[in-house]
Amino acid sequence: MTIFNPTTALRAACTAMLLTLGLSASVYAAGSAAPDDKGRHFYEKVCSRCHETGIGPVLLGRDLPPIFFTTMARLGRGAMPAFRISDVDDETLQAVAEYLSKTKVKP
Amino acid sequence: MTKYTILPKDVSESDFDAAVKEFTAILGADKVLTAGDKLQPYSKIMLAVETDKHAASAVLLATTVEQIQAIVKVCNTYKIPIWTISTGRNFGYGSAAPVARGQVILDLRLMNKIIHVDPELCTALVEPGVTYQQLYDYIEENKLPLMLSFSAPSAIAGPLGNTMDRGVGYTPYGEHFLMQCGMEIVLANGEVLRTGMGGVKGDKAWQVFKWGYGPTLDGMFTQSNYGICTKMGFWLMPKPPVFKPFEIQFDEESDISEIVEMLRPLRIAQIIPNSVVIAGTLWEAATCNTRRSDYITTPGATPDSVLKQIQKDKHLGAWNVYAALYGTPEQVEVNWKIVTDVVAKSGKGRVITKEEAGDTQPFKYRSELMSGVPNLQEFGLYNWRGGGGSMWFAPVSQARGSECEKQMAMAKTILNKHGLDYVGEFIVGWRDMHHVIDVLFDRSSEEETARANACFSELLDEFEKHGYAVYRVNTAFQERVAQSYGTVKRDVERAIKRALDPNGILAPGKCGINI
Repeated sequence: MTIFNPTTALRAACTAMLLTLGLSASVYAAGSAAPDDKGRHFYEKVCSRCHETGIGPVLLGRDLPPIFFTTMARLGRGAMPAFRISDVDDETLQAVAEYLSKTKVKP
Repeated sequence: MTKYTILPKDVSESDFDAAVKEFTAILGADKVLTAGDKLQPYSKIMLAVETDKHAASAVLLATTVEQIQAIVKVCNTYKIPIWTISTGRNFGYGSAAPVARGQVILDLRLMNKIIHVDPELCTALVEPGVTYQQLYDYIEENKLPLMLSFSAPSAIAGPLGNTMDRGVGYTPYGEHFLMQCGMEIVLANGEVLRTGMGGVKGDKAWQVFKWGYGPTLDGMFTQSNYGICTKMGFWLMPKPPVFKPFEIQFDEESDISEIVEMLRPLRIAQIIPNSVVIAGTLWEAATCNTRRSDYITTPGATPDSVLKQIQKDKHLGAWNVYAALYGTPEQVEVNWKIVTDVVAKSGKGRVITKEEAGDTQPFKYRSELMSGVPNLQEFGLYNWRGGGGSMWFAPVSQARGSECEKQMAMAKTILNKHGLDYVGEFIVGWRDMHHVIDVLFDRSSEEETARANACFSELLDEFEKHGYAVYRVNTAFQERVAQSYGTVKRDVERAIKRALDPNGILAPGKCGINI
């Protein structure tokens, strides 16, 4: 299983992407928390296809902020496809991101 | 300076303003995207060209046929070029991005209704945004005795887009366009055409009889820009009582000719009914999560000695044949004996059954693809080199050993010359081979990206000199490939384009077709 270690540099890159998008972390932080089950459902149905099969990096229990996940999903990275608004709406994506940010490492 | 990120070619800002205003009136403000951050997810490509060359000026999210009819009328008024996508997951062929910079993307992903699935006639009718996963879930939830056929990005791609691009799958129904039956097309003038039996009032045979009356038109709407497909019918395979997947491993790269000669009679006679795959070592290694960096860190083509080591470590063949038998226990038993006798007589090849392979990859995902269970395991290909670069080079050939051997040797020589690897498989049609090669490169490296571009050009040029052409290509090379098929064909295509779309609003440049 591939272990993905987001470095300080990657966090900085994420911040840079946010600036490019004209977003700020506070905009997202101000949003109401979505139920975990909605986020978990989408994660299990879509994201886990790659992120729990050794193709993409592990996402569970990474202690990363929701904005990291939303940014990566919208922009893609390397071979990871970008997820458009028609693939996943903002509310669902935010729920996925919040779910992932709270998850523990799988035993 | 313009307030838009990009403008469509030859469209003024004031005309674009007016068009956007009318698009907004049709769709609503939240379904017309022009801001840079909203457009960015649509621009992600894996091709060896600059991202900017395929950037869109706007995205329209339509949900009804009537909206699309209204949109094309606006496009005609202001000469706005639109690029239609269904699920936009044509990875390595252009993803969701348009063929030319500035085109407006018409995204039909939200049109995702499964209109009907008939478990008795084994037919389906779907909208563009339906994914294979969605259809699979529907079939499972309703316990329908049906089986899907799809390409490898099955979970997130869809039947309409794949079929309109003449993609292939791995079951007996793997030649997807062959199984298509009935289309609904919005023409450039806003009229709605139903092909086959679809134009007959009160008809019920739209999804069962392909030809209708007079010229059969469906084919001309695939890989073209003559209309916007808003519904597509297709046939589904009845789920067989017995499904028996198997693999045959061959140790030497030079075995390819004998493999093809051995398989062709079995395939043509339908003893093996599905689209058999003959996959090379690196394809198999990558899809069981092997990275190049696990073995070698020096740049360039991977030496044969390393390939042999991977083959040994991962228990792979130089060629790995995947096929399956489908039917009643009696049918499968008879055909299994025929297949195993043929392999035994050849004196080469190790037959591996599902019982022997267990849950190991890549057998597991191959078995799933051959039985219509969606997965994304093949995305492991992208980790071989990393960096997100992928372009499919897919020349067609006769299903003859000599042809496949020649193509494989040519492709490997050219790829290695440019410091890239041969990562390929042959998909056996009834009498043809789709030789599918993933030109993988690190897109984060400008130098490697330039090499990949040069490599792809050389592959096209050299193969053309030997009488070969690809059946499908990414958006950066569509004009180039159109040239391979001759001027008369291009003239006919242009005449049809001018007749059906005189303003050239529908995907100008797609497959090299312009007014």
